[in-house]
Amino acid sequence: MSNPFEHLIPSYVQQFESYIPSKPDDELKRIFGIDHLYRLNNNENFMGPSKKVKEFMQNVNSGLIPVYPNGDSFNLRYTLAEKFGKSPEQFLVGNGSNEVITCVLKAFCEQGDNIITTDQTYAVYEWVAEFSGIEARLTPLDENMAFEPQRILDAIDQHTKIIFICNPNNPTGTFWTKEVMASFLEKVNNRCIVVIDEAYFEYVEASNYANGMYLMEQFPNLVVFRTFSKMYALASLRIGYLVASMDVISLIRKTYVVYSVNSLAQMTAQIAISDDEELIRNTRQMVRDGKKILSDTCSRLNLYHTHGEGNFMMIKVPVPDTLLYKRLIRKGYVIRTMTGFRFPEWIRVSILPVGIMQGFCESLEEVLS
Amino acid sequence: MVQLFQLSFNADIFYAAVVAGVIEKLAVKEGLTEIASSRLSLGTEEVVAYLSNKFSGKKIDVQATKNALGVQIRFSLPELFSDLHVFNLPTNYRSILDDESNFNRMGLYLAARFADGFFIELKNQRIEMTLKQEYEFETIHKMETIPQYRGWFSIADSNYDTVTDACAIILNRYKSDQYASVVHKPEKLWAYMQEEIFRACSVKDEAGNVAGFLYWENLSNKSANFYGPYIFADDKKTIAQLLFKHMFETIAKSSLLAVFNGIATSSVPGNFFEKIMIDEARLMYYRQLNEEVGMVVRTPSILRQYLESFYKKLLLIRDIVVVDEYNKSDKQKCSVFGIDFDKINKEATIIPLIDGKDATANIESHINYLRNENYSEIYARFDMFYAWQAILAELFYQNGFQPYLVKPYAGQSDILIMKFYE
Repeated sequence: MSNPFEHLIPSYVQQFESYIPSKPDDELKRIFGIDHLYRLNNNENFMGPSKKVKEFMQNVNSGLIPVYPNGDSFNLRYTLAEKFGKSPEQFLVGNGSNEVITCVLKAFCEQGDNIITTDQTYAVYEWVAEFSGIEARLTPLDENMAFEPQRILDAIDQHTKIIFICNPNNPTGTFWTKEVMASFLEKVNNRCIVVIDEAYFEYVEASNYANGMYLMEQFPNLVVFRTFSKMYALASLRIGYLVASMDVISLIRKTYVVYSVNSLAQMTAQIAISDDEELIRNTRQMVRDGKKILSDTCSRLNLYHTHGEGNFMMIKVPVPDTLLYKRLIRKGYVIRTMTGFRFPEWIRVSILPVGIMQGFCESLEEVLS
Repeated sequence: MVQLFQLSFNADIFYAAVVAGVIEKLAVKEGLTEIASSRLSLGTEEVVAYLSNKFSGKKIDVQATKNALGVQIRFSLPELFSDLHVFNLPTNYRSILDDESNFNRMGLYLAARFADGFFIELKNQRIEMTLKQEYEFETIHKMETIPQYRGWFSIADSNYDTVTDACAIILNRYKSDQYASVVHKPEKLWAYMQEEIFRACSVKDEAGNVAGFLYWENLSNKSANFYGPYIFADDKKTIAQLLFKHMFETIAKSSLLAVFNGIATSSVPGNFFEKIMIDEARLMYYRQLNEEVGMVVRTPSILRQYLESFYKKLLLIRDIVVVDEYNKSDKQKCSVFGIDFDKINKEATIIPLIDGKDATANIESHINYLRNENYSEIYARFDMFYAWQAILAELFYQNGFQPYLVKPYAGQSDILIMKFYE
């Protein structure tokens, strides 16, 4: 039976398929009949936030609850500005990165415009564009599963408003070096906004990585996204931010949703960014160790796999990804199937501490045999 | 779909010839052959006459549309009319058997025979009947000389010429039970692709010769059937991988949750599908596209064991709710079943549209009708989201149907297919 109200929504929304998130852990445990569950599907930081954040959370003042948060995360923006040597006005804080993606798209695009990204990357750029009635032009990755600059440049026309570059790319872990990024931005030549999504920036160990914060000084059309959900382990608080030049930020601010970031998230993020050295050092070590175990197992099982940046790896598997998901969840491990990322032969695995990765590798070997 | 015209009138036999005349002229103008136009016109006349006889004075909406496949005429009227039984095709058929002089009662049956397609559905509390008449599509011959393939293989655009070449080579290389009848008419396959009912992908060699072909049909917004892969060059494994990888990349962000085989050749790569033996002879290829999170299905107790065993095999999580009884006073007086005909293979699938107190008798009449029409394989299809369909499944079971297959995620919930055994 068709929905009698469907005619009330725009045609581009009618065609859009809603995203069904994963069920809560307790529910998954119940339906799969398991007593433990490790999430290797969301690229969260299993180690949790820094000591100072944990201490703060244990002593949260309940007097905060009845009072509206600061409307534009004033204090946090000043802390971010100090850390990155920029003006507080250059920052906008959002309820997770998805909100700032929406914000940028609304500011620059109207129907008839297009955005460009790749076909195998974080899906939200494409989704937000589509349900806003904006064309999403998707260029293929190169043979190394990295964004291909020339294909993107070739796709630009007079209606292109934004290019989204996920650096390092989720899910492939590939990244653009300073040279590649600078050359690309020169060729774009301010014709449109270039967004660099650096959600996994803090995990990157490659010295030639293109840090958007620095490049912004040279290229004023650049917008950088960062998040507290990944390295900083504040995923449940939903907080991320963008940085841009004064000219660009003044335009994005027009569509910025004020009061959407709660006080707890603002205060926690402020503490997290001020106390991150140990957390980053320890987490990177955990990821290095976990990747080694997983990589060794894949090599032993003859499974092709990626060696990228970020706290995740992709593995090419000889069975349907959804079948592997069903088998592994019965062992207590949730993986990310990759068909939805247009990688129908792959899975993505988040890196957790060594003990868990060892258990996962044993289960992977068992279900594949 | 382009709307050609729309009109409403109060059911009266007077309008039968008038509407039929308009339809005939319109059909010719829109490119149907004179014979096809006449068939559509005769079908229209029969439907209008029939409805006028049954529902005199009630408002009927008629809408004519065209698409790449042909012209469609849709008749729509409120569901609330009491005599729903008349919308069962066997009811009309039986009226002829019972009394050959009683021609005014056989309208829907005749309409179904005149047109290329006729189906009934319930939409927004209205009964909708659609007559379809297709354009004439050219039948091709097999390609006598298969190209000499060379160099690298890669995914290529499936344009009209590619589709035509692929079909011509399939006719040369594959036995007739390995492809659908539409392969004889690539123009028709192309028309389906224009309507996005079918999608296709192909692989070419460096010289641009078609070396592989795969197409799939969207059965609903949740499931699709694939046909192939048809592979013409020696490197079957590489080409099959390219085709399926491309198909899954194409549908990755669509609403589809499951892909099954329509007709599968021996070249289906194992890494893309789960395989399920349906019976000793038939294998089902199944690819789930979402991460399994479980679902509720409703079933009569008699089928519970079958379902549990099936779900265990596929590692699917289902809350199986047994619904053996429900308030019979809620039932309509008359049940209505649709029929999906596969005239080429003489297979038919009964699709319950409305449950009713006469359901058992209606099942029998459908079986008799299909047997008399020489349909050798009779199936019934149930969406296990609905309790009333689960209840009906039990009645079908009691009347000779056995569970045959479950298609996960193929409907609002899973779809249960039952097969009739003598």
